[in-house]
Amino acid sequence: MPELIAENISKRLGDADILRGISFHLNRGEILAMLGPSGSGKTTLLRCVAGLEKPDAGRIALGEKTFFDAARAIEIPAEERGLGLVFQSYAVWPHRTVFQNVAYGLRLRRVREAEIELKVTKVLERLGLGELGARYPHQLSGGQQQRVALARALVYSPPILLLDEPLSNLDAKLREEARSWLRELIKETQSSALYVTHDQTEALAIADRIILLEDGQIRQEGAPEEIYARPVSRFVAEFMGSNNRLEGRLAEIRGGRARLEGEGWSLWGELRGAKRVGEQAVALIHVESARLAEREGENCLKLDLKSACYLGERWEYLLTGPTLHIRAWGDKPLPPGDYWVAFPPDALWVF
Amino acid sequence: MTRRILVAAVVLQLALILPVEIFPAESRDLVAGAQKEGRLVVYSSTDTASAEPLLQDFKSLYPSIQVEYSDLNTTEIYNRFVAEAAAGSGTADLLWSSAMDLQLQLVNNGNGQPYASPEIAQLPKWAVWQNQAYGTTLEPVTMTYNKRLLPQDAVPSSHADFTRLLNEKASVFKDKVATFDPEKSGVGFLLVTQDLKVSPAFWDLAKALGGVEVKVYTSTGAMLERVSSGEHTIAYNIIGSYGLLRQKKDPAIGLVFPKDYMLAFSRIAFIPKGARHPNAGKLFLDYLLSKRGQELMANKSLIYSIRDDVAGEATAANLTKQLGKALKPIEVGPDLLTALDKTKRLDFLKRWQEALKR
Amino acid sequence: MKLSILRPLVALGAILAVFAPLGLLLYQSLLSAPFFDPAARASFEAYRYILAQPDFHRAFGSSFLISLGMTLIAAPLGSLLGFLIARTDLPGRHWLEPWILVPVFLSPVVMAFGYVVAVGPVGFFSLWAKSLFGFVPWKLYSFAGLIAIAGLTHVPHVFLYVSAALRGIDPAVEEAARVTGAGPWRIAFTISLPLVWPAILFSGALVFLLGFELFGLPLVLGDPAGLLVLTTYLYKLTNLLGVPSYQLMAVVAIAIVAITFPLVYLQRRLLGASSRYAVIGGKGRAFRPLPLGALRWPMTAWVVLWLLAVVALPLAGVALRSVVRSWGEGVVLLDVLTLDHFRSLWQYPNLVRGIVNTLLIGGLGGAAAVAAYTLLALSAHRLPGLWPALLDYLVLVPRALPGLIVGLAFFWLFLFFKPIAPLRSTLFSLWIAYTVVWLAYGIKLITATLMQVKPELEEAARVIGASPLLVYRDVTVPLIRFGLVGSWLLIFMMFVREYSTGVYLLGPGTEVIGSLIVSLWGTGALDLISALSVIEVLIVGLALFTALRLGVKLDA
Repeated sequence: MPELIAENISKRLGDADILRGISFHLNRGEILAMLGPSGSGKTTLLRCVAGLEKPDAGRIALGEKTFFDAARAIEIPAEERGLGLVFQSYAVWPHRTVFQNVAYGLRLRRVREAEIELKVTKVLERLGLGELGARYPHQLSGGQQQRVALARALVYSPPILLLDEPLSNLDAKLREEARSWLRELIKETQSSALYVTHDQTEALAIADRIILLEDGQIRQEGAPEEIYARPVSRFVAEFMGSNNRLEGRLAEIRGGRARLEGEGWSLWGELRGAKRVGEQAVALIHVESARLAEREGENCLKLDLKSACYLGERWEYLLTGPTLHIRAWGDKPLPPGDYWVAFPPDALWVF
Repeated sequence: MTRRILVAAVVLQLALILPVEIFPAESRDLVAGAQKEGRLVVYSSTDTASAEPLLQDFKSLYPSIQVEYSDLNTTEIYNRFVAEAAAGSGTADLLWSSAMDLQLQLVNNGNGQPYASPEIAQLPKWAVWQNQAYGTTLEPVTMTYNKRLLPQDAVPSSHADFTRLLNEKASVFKDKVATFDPEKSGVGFLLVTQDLKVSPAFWDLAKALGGVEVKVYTSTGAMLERVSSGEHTIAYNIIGSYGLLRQKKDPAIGLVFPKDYMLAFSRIAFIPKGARHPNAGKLFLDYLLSKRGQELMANKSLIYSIRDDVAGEATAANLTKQLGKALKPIEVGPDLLTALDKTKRLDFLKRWQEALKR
Repeated sequence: MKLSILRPLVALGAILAVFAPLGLLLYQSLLSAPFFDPAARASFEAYRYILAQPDFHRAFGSSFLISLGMTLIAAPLGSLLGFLIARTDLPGRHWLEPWILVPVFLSPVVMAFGYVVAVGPVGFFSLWAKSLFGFVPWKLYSFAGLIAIAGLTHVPHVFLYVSAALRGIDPAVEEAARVTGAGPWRIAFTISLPLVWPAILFSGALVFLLGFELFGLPLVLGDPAGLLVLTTYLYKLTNLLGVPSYQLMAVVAIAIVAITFPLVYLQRRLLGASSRYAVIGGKGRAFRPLPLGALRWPMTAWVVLWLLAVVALPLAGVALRSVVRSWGEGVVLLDVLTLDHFRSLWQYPNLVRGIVNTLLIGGLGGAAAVAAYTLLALSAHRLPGLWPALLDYLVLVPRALPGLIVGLAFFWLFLFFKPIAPLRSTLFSLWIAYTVVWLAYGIKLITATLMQVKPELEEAARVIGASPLLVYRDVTVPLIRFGLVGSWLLIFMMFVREYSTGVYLLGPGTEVIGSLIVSLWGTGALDLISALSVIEVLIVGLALFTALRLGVKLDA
């Protein structure tokens, strides 16, 4: 059952179209990630939902309650929407203690002092901040501040939690831990969440569903595996994961498959675009899908291994052909020389 | 120590008893009314330093009356009063200014309220106009010089002397002479226009002043300071009272009572129609004219008592004795108004400017 | 109260406070007599009269020349000073920097008066020079003297903007020039200063504008010699005709505004240009100052000499005059030492009230003004739409109005408008005039502080459920409280220092040190003026010391 509905949201800023008619919904208990490169409009969209920006057109509603409707000139101010928002910079108030920061939303709701005490303590404990209530934000680490921001947004149990790149200010290691911890927390509190991020790994790890935005438009929407494994456009494919790119001419189309030809090579892949034989096309394959093979097989190319780099948990090989640069992964160092590389046709997408 | 306190206590008691004896003429109603009003606002051109002894004494007589004394430039008094009266907002209870012409103009235009002071009999006839404008002092208009810079034998003794000195030693006196700016100062304007009335040679004097590039000021105080410091050697048309007071502190100050003629002006006081505390205003006017007040003027304020029955250093009687016929008191009367006519005033100022080559 | 009600109220109040005096001036200038005169009718008579006055033309010419002259002195010296302090290894620059801004906080009347005692024709410094050379090598009461002093005392205004702009430049630009072999002077004149050209232009225009508003310096230094500028001409008009000639004063006021307003507008355009330049780079990384080499000490000597000339010299003059009975040629100072002037201050109730009022208007009035400025700045804070843009221009209006004129206009307003008439003789009339005069400065202080509040901090509260007013109360204002304290200290000093605004409003109940000094200057009571001046300087000095201790930036 959809909780939040946004229809045809558009927003212009000066000459630039930031959002071009975006519609989406968020189901109860769901974590929806808005994924996109910077400038794709994802943060603006989130701010429109929060009420911090005013769209030029469209409608936003939470259940029965209309937040915004350009046609009916309805705009509920941010403070009356009752949502929770975690900022990229946390925006923890430096002049208030952790406790006061978290308690503020309850005070505004005129909750009794004893109950405030109880609720704040509970949420701080849940977030591992139990001892820090009396501290001021500048006495906290970045990760702790981030959790204060989260606690502040969670404490009054908003129907929807809006998260704007909440992990991007953490350092890499902390960020990885926080992902699963955050997902677990949201699920446990049974909130719904709209999660904005530019980091595809983060989106894949946290979200139940992902909306990929580019240039103010939705490019693809679906479950993480779907977006990752079945991109509908070259943009989506290129945005997700780490890719090898092969450019050539469409030589042949048979069934759903297409044969791409380059100088001294020819490969079969899934046809994903509306290309015709004879046109120039691009094929993409995730780095992890290109595999070194023992011997020649179907859809294989013989390439020259130039170097092998050690990445810690694996090795990355750089292979070149006459006009190709291909990266592949393996688990052992290899000397330079010629190797066969297999390109499974269903993992090679021709756009 | 205890004796001193004892003496002080006796003096204090005397001071408290005295008023009853000093003001037999004062009506009890007026005193009661003034005390009920509780406040007195005075706009005055009398320097605070000179007025302070009078104010202190008045306050000791009527401690329940709070005195607001504003020491303003003569034209400031006039302008402020006109604006306040016209706008119908509160104004002073007594205007006390040495710009006799401006004061008379205000009274003449119906801004004063008549009040027959019980002291009226003790004043010269010419000093009271229509029971509204009261001349309170008779003060010499003098020259003042720096004794360190001007040797005794070079000091001019008359207006003619002064003109000659400036003409003969123009280079020596260049930048070294000061006088009132009649454009900015009401009393300054009064004095030069009276000069012109008394002396046919006035424009010669003015030209001589122009010849030494005379510096002009809005007050006697400003001129005294600069004569005292030696920036200027001599200043013309100085209010002698302030000169006398300054002389007590600074022996370098010398005063000239010019022998050919000496103007003497009178600070005019009147009670405006719009006074908020008219009884207090009347009471203070009576005090200024009373023997007690005038004795302080003669001996402490040094602004020259106008009463004949007062003895002391600064009295009209002394001036008359010293100068005889050469003393030219400026009378309180409609004659003062002639120079004020707008076109006449501007004509005069234009001629003054030309004489000074400004 | 809701923001939607409060905001228009605040806006309306600000517009009224700014335009009512200006409107009254304009109205009065178009009448044939003072506004309260029943015979007054609409006419251009007053304009015709003033424009035909030779004195007006002389005053206009003098104002123009003085403005030009002081700009030509202050702009190069201020720029150079900015470069020396911001960019070079001038010895003691950290120690010198706060002192450079001191002249901004000193009352020009006090300074002028100090100069008279120090370097006037018989000033103690002049007499010393005379004993050395046999004559006094300068003439204070002259056009040149006035321009020199006006120019030197306005160096800090240029310094302020140029040094700030220079600090915004990426030091790498200069380092690149050094590597190619340029010395510090070549760098200054070919790289650094050209880069901050808009800031130099802006501050030059500011000084030029301030030149037209000069009052204290020409009043004290120019008047005796009959040297008139527009403001002193206006002051003189008070008395000229022997009758209140408000229509003529209003015409002169309008004439001044007609000059200053385009200048303010020009400045605002220049400010846009200079802020574009200011973001040249600079990550605030530590950089090595340019070595001045052999010129280090001569340059320090130059800066110290300038400081002595604009701070020490006049203050020493004031201080000296306050402890002697008489002074000048042939006076042995040791014989005339006295503390009587300070003692006698207490005998004058109006002077005592003046000191108390000065502290009140600076302390309470300053706080109230900061509150008003904060309210006004918040009313346009992070808002799209018409009002913030309008406010931007609204604050320019009082900048074009010299304090003397604002004071005059408010004096009339309190006379004219009966409901507020009873407030005329209270500090309120003075407070509102002060608040309007310093509006642009105050708004600049507050908006600079507000800019430091990250928008998310406020948005976070909005989303959590706080209405805009609650956001201001619970987040914005508490966050800028240190900035507000700093602003208050700066406004305190400006209000204590202020002198021209109170001149026409001066009366029983509204005495403040600044306008008392102007008024007493007319009566020549220098004993009292010097004692009052010393007290004023001490109050400002104490506030300055506190501000520096608290780390308040003076260059806002």
